[in-house]
Order: sequence, then structure tokens, then C-alpha cells
Amino acid sequence: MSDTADILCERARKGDLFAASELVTQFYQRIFAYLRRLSGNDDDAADLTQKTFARTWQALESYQRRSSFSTWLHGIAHHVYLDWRRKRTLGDSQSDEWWEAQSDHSPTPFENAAEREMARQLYRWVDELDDEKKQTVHLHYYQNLTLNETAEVLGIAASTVKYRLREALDFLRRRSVESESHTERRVV
Amino acid sequence: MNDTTMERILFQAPKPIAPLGLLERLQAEIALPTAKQATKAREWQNPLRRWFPALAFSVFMLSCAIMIAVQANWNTNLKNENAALRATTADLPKLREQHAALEQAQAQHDELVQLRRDNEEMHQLQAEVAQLRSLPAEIQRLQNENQRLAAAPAQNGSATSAATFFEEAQAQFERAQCVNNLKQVGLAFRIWAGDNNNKYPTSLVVMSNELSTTKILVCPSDKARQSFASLGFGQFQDSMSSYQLTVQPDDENFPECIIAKCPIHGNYLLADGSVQQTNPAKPQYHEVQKDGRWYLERINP
Repeated sequence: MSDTADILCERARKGDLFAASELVTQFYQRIFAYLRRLSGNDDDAADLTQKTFARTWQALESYQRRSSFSTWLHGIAHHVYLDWRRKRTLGDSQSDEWWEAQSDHSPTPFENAAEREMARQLYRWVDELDDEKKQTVHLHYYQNLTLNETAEVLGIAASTVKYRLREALDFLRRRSVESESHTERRVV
Repeated sequence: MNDTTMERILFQAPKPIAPLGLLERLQAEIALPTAKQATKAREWQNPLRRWFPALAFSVFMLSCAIMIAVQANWNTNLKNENAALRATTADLPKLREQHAALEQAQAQHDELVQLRRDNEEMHQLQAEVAQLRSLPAEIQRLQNENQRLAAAPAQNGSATSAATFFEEAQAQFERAQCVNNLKQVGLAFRIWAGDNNNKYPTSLVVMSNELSTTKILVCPSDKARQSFASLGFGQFQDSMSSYQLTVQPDDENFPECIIAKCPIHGNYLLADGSVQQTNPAKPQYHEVQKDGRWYLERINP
């Protein structure tokens, strides 16, 4: 896919509209999903996706192919999101209902209700992480980027990405333990 | 919940679905940088801009070629000049010979000028001699007058003083005549030397061609040799001359040495052709011999 994206990108640089359209088709869902999870609503996510692609076409001439097109596109989306965050003082994220709705209505690999409940809680706890760790988790786990790709998007070292993920998992584990002990007390 | 489970759940997070119409909007908003490409294409259409690197290199190479050609031209010119200088140097001995000949000609010219001056002086002396020659007639007339006056008894005392005056005049005339003779002899020496490798003759008879007559070889005051003055050079001998020769062949290089002298008047002919007069009654000079040659030296008071 990466090779295909690079070929399409090269053709788009030469002015091929069809290739650019194909790139949009391939990546708009991933970019929308990334921005939707971060922004918290569909309208903002759609606007941010549009801005991301607009910047992509503007910066297409300066694309040096030091990273894959997917990584480069995620980097643009990340900066678009940061700009949007700076303009808004909004610190909220998507509510539990959204994750619940996603879990209820979207096709998920989780077999039973207990596992779905566990996933719902886990996603909610991810949103309680600080911004740096949260964005690292989003890019690596939700967007399926490798450690190096995540590091390139965030502009940090791969070792820093590993550290942030370990910290995030520690936090999630602690919250899980707390949640289990609270449930046991309620049962008793 | 362990880490593996948590990671698995996170990797399987639900993916929000994009709203309908977003794809169409995104595709409609595609704005590829075709304007820049057009500008770039226009830039390449300018042939000068496109070929500038090649042109610059060509100009540089052309400049180098011109410089090399100019240097080669200079080199050729220098070689030609060098060859010309070598050719000139080859003629150097010949030029030196020509220069030596020129210098010799210049010396001869100077000598000729000197001879002309001497000749003029000789003519002047001859005129003086002619004037003096008329003097005996005048003396004779005055003697006659004197004798006539001597006949008168009252005038005896003044006749003696008049005779002394005439004798002195005669002596002065003869002395001048002697100087003139020596001058002509000196001139003859120099002319003869000019034809004989600058060497002076050691005999008077040898240079008979340069002497006009034997009369100039006899001092007018030398009464004993007056008869020789009428002889031709065929019979004349050096011993018949009143003048004593002290000349040596290379005396021309010693202009102040004596080559002939009149023992009666004390007139000396020097190697440079000049005549030095001395008064035998009151001598101011005396003869000195140095390195086999005689010189006049002033007597210290």
C-alpha cells in the first residue's frame, strides 16, 4: 500500500487529479477516524480532515519522501489538530456514550458483553491520559502506526514513544486494578 | 487485565465512520500545484536559462583557448626576438672590428686636424719670414745711411750705437728663422710618422720627401754650414745639418721629450712638434735625461 501511495503521490505531484482522488479515497477514513477520536464530534473531525488534505495539496511539492506518505499525512493531521486545539480552549473529549455507541453499533471483535464493557472502560481511561501519552496511544494503537512512524509524526525519538506507551499502560493497569477492587467491595 | 490484553483491545479500537459526502467534498477540493508546474515549464522554455550551464562552460573554455593562443603568440614573438638577438651577437666580432677601425679613423682625423693647425702656423711663420727677409735690404739701406752719416765728424758717437742695433736685429731675425726651421722639421717628423706606423725617423735625410728644402736644416746663424744649405738632398748628409738629433722611433708617445735642438740659439724641437726657445745667455732651462730620453726642466731659482 505504501508503494502504491507513493506512486499515486508522485503522479499527483505531476498534476494527476485522478491519482490525488485515489489518495483521498485510500486515506480519508483513517484520517477522519484519527481526528474524530481526538476532536470528539463529527463536524469538527470533518472540517479538520478537509484542512488536512488542503494542506497536503499545498505541501505536496515539498514532500521529500523521507517517510511514507501515510506517516507524512498523519503528521499533517497531527499539526492540524494541534492548531485547532490552540484556538479552542476545549479540553473535553468524547463522552462515554460515544464509546458505548461505537461499541454497541459498530462491528467489533469482542465476543461477549464483559469484554465489550472492559474495552469501553479502557478507551475511557485512555482519554484520561495527558495529551502527549494520549496522542501516542492514538497513533500507535488506534491508527496502527509503528513505533518509528509514531515517532516521526510526533517529531520525537522512538525511545520516547516507548517510554510514553509504557507509562500509559502502567496507568491503565492501575485504573483496572482500582476498578476491580471497587467492584469486589460493592459485591461484598 | 494484563498488558497483552490491554494492547489487544487497544489495537482493536472501533474506527469511526466518516459522514456521507465527505469523500466527495474532499475530492472536489483537491487543488494540485499545477500553477507552479506551469511556471516551471515556462522557465524551462527560456532556452538561455536552460542552456546557461553549458553556455557558461563553453565561455570558460573559449576564454582558456584565447589565453592559450595569446600566450603561444607571445612565446613565438619571444623566440623570434631571441633568434634575432643571437644573430646580432654572431656579428659582434665583426662589429668590434668596425668599431676599432672607426676609432682609428677618428684618431687619424684628429691628427689631420692637428696637422692642419700646424700647417696654418707654418704659413704664418713663412709670412713672418718673408717679412723678415725684407729686413736685410732695409738694414743695408740703413747701413748706407749710417756710413753717410759717419762721414760727418760731429756724428761719430751715434754711429756705433746704430751698428749695435742692426746687429741685434739681424740676430733676432736669424733666431726666428731658426725657430721656423725647427717647426718645419717637426712637421716633417709627424707627417713621416703618420705614414710609418707612428714611428719617427732617426735621420733627417730619410724624410727628405716631407722637407721642402735643405735650407731649413741649416741654422741661419751657423755661418760655417751655410754652404750646405744650397746642396740638394742627393748630397746632403745628417752631419751637414746645424741641428743635433736626439730622436728615437717611439718618441711620439713621449710628447715632451727633445727630438732635435739648435746648439747656437738654444731652440729645442719637442716630440709633439712644438719648439721651445731658451736664452743661452740667461738659461732658465737645462737638459735632463730620463729613461734614455732628453727633457727640458726648469731651473729652480
